[in-house]
This record gives sequence, C-alpha cells and structure tokens, in this order.
Amino acid sequence: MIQVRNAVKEYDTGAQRVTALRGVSLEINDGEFMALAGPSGSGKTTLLNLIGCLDSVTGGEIIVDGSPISALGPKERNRVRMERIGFIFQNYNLIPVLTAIENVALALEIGKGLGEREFRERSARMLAEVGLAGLENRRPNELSGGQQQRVSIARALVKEPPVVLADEPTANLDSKTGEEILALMESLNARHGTTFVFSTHDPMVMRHAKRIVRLHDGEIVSDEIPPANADGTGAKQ
Amino acid sequence: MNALGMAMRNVFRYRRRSLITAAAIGFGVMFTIAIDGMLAGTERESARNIRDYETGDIKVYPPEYFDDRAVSQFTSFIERDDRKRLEAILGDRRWTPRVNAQAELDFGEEWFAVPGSVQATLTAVDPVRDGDTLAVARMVDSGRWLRKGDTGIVIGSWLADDIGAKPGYWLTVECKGRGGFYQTFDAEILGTVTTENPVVNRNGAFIALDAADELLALEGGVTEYVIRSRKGDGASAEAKELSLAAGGLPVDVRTWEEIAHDEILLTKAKSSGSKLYLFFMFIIAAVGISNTMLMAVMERRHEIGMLRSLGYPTIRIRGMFVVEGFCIGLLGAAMGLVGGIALDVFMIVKGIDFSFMLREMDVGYRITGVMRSAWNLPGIVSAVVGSLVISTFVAWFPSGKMLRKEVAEILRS
Repeated sequence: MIQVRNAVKEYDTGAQRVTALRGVSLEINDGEFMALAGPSGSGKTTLLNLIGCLDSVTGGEIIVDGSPISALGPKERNRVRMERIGFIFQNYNLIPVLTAIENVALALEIGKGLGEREFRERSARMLAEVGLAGLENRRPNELSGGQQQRVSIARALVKEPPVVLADEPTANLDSKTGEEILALMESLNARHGTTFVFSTHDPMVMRHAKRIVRLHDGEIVSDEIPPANADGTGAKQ
Repeated sequence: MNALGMAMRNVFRYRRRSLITAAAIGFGVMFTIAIDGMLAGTERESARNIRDYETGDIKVYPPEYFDDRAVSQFTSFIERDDRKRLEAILGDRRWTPRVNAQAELDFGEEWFAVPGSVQATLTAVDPVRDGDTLAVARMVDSGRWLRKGDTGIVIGSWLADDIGAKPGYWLTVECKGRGGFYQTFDAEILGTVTTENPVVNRNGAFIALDAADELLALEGGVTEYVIRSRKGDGASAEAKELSLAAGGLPVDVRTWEEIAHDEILLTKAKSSGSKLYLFFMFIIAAVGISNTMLMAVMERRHEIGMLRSLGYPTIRIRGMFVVEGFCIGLLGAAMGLVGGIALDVFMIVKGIDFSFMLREMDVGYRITGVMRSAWNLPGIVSAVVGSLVISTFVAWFPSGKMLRKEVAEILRS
C-alpha cells in the first residue's frame, strides 16, 4: 500500500517559487488500476514522481508499505525503485543502441544477481507477454511507437514490481494503439495483480481506469470509482 | 549488456563525433610518439657524435684542468713520466693523447682570394692512436689524414669552405705555447674532414702531436687522454676503476657525461620544451573529449533518468560514461599508435635532412644533416597510456552535475 499524506511540492524556477502540489493525501491499495487525471500543470506527473521516489516532497510524507520515503537516503530510494516500482514513460526512454530484449534486460541487470542467460530468458518471456515475440532483436528505431511502448512496459514489468507508474503512457500513440496498450496494462493488472497508477488527461484512457483521482492546481478535486467499475462503495470523495 | 559493450555501441552511435574526438587524440598520440622518437634519435646521435669526435667515453685530465678547460690556459699538463705510468694503467684499452688549444688561423692573399683570419680549436693528436680511438681520422673527404712527423694541418670542411681553403694551401697558425709564449707557424693544409659533428666541421683544426710538441714546447706533456670504455655504456664504473688505479698519479678522470654536461643539459631542456608543446596538444585532446562527453550526457539525460528510475546507482551510470571516454581514448590511441609508428619508421629509415639549416646555425645538437628517429618504447607506452588516462579522467566529470539532480528533474529537463 502507498499512502500520500498531505504532500506538498514546490519548485524554484529561478525567479519564482511554484507550488506543484498543495497538501495532497491519497491511499493506493495493492492491485489498483488507477488514473491520475487532470489538465497540464495540475500536478499529475509531480505526484507520480513523488510516489516513485524520483523526487522528494517539500512537505508531507509518502509512505510505501509502511516506510516513509523521506526518511530514506539515496541508496535506499534507489533500492525502492529497483525492487518495488516499475516506470513507463510517455517518451518510452528506450536506449536506441540496445535491442528490445537488451532494453528489457536492463531492468534485471541491476541488483538481482541473475546470470546473462536468465536475463535473456525472462526478458524474452516478458516481451512475448506484451506481444513482441519475434521482435526481440530489433532496435527501437525498427519498432513502431506502440511496439516501443510495449518494450517499455515489458521493461517495467520484467522485474515483477508490485507497483507500476505510467506517465501519460498513450500520449504519443494513436487512439487504436493507445487502446491496445491500455488493454495490455489492464490484462497484466488482472493476471499479475500489479498495481498500475497512470497519469492522463485523455477521457478515452480514463474509461479504462477502475479509479480516477482528479487533480487541479496541485489539489485533489475528486477521487471516484467510475460506475462501470463500482462495487457498491461508490465514489470515495 | 556489460558497460564495455554498451560504451562501444554508444561510441558508434555518435560515429562522426566520436571519430573526430578520437582523431584529435590520435593526432596528439601520433605526434607525441613521432616527436619523442625524433628527440630520442637526435639525443642518441648527438651523444654518439660527442663521444666519437670529442670526448670518447672517458677523459683523463691534468689536475685542476677540467674546470677551466674552456679557457685552455695551457698551464696544466700530464707530464711525460706520468704519461708512461698512465699508459701502463690504460693497457690494451683504446686510448689516445691529445693537446687542445685555441688558435687563430690566418689565411694570406698568396693562397686565398680574400685574406683574413678565423678562430679554431687546434687539437694536436697522435695520428695513429686517434684514428683507433675517435672517428675524425676516418672522415677525411679531401686530401689525407695526418701522419707522424707531419707539420701540416687538417681542418674541418665547413671551416675550409668558409675561408675557401683546399688541400695544398698554406695557413699561418697563431697560438700560445707551453708557458704562455706566442707561437706562429705556417702549416700546409693536408686534408679536410667532414664529420657528423658540426663542432669539428665548423672549428676543428688538427696537427700531429710530435710536431706540436716541438712547435709549442710541450716537453712531452699533453692536456688529456681520450679513452674508449671496454664496457660500452659502463663508462662511469670504468672511470671509477681508472681513478682508483691511477690513485698515485696527478690526474683527474672524468666520464663523457661530466664533460658534456652542458650539452646534455641543453638537449634535455630542448626535449622538455618540446614535450611542453605535446602536453598542450594533450590538453586540447582532453578538452575535446570532455566536450564530447558533455554533449553525450546532455543528449542522453532521459536515458540517465530512465536508468536511475530502474535503480541504477549513480556510480554505475557514471562508470558507463567513463568507459565510453576510455573507448574513445582507446580508438584515438590506436589511431595515434599506428600513425606514430608509421612516422617513426619513416624517420628511422629516411629521416629529414636539415643540413641546409644545421650548416649555418648551431642548434645545440651535435648533428650535421639528417635527423633520424630512434625507437623509444617508454615514450610510446607513455603516449598511449597518457591518452587513455586523460580520456578516462576527463570523462568522469561531465556526468557529475546531471547525476546530482533529482531523477524527476533529469527526466523533466
């Protein structure tokens, strides 16, 4: 479980100080498939970065499985990222000189103490699971945008993290490919029980979410379970 | 994918930039190797020419002569009796007695179109022994070398050219005799010598020792013995042995390094000066690689952010850039090594003929014409290792600032 307690994030932009999050509180349960929705500048990416230990809060606290993140040093935060969180980026952030399988294996090469053969086997299995069997040895420039995002998803999931954070994962894809990617994420969420938290401002994407947290100007304005996914508890806020 | 494999792929990812940077390093390495080889060759040849034409490996002087030898005061001599004892100690070594003096060579209108006079270093030599010990006697290019009893003179070919002298012409020699009296005598030019030592060619004048003994009232005394070491480069140890053996004699034993100390220092100073230029060349290469790595870091900041999001420690990411810098350095060093060795081979086999320059000016080296390189393995190794160390070292820094940022900031930038 991830708990966000009264999180505040301020940035210095040189001339002025910008408040990106203004006391956000939130609980994310294991296995959720949750969207952080809101317009540009609402604080979605900032909140994802804080949850993913990619940034530090200015105030408040982020607690992952009972451990407050702000108490962790750089090495421990590295370890949290390595063991507990997978990231999917809007721009995929694949390394162009590596093949699909090598990009996926990057996630395994750090920390797990696995051999090269096991890297490749697990990476190939993961690529097959995201529908890229047979394309393992292609470089990113030989793959379509959707295929690149699938590689990025495989990279996020190959180390089997309990939480995957995705920052606008379909923003650079056409609507059909975007639907496919979301369907894939939903299926992985269902099969592995992995928690997915993704940011979006696209209503089409939000339709797939089982919970939608809306942000505006750094504050949560609503936290709801869409009717199609409601199990009787209704909207949380 | 190990760091080396990834680094090599990134090197070829920015092929043109990597090649330009590697070429800059290669250029530095190539010229370091080539100039180092040339300096080594020139130093070696210069040292050989000092030993073959001036100092031998060891010299034995009269006491108190060494410090004032440049003045040629002509007051200290190894006397006849001491000479016999010294020669017994020298035994079957190659040695030759000599007398050095400063002289004025006057050339009159009877033989020369333009009369005048010129300074020369007059050396009285044993015609036979000198040929066995030093190389001057073998370098006669016109006329002939001295024989015992000759009253003529052999002069350096550049000196001869300068005054328009030829064998068969006569010169008037003015110099001090023993005790300080002035002696003037006429001497026929018997031959001219063109040696590999510019000092001999420019200023050298040689007369037979037995004639000099009479003309300069030497009374059997000489100002030095030139000795070739039995041990090749072990002149220092042999000089000590001789010094001990000649303990009872009033003589001063010196190695060629002591005698040519100023020339060696000058050579080393020139060598250091040249290496300073090479150091600057390496600095330029270092700036080049630093710039390349900085650009690589800036262009790959999202990859850096992604790697950190995967949990890669900063040291490992930094290591990737360092290995990349090393790989570019390796590429440059390989290019430079090939180029440097090719230049070295050319310079060893063919060399560059600087005789047009060396004839007119004294550059401090005892060489007369073709400058040739010599293999200098430590120089080659240090050029290659130096370029690798610099490439690796400067690649450490550009990623530092980026890695100190929060991951989110890197991804956002």
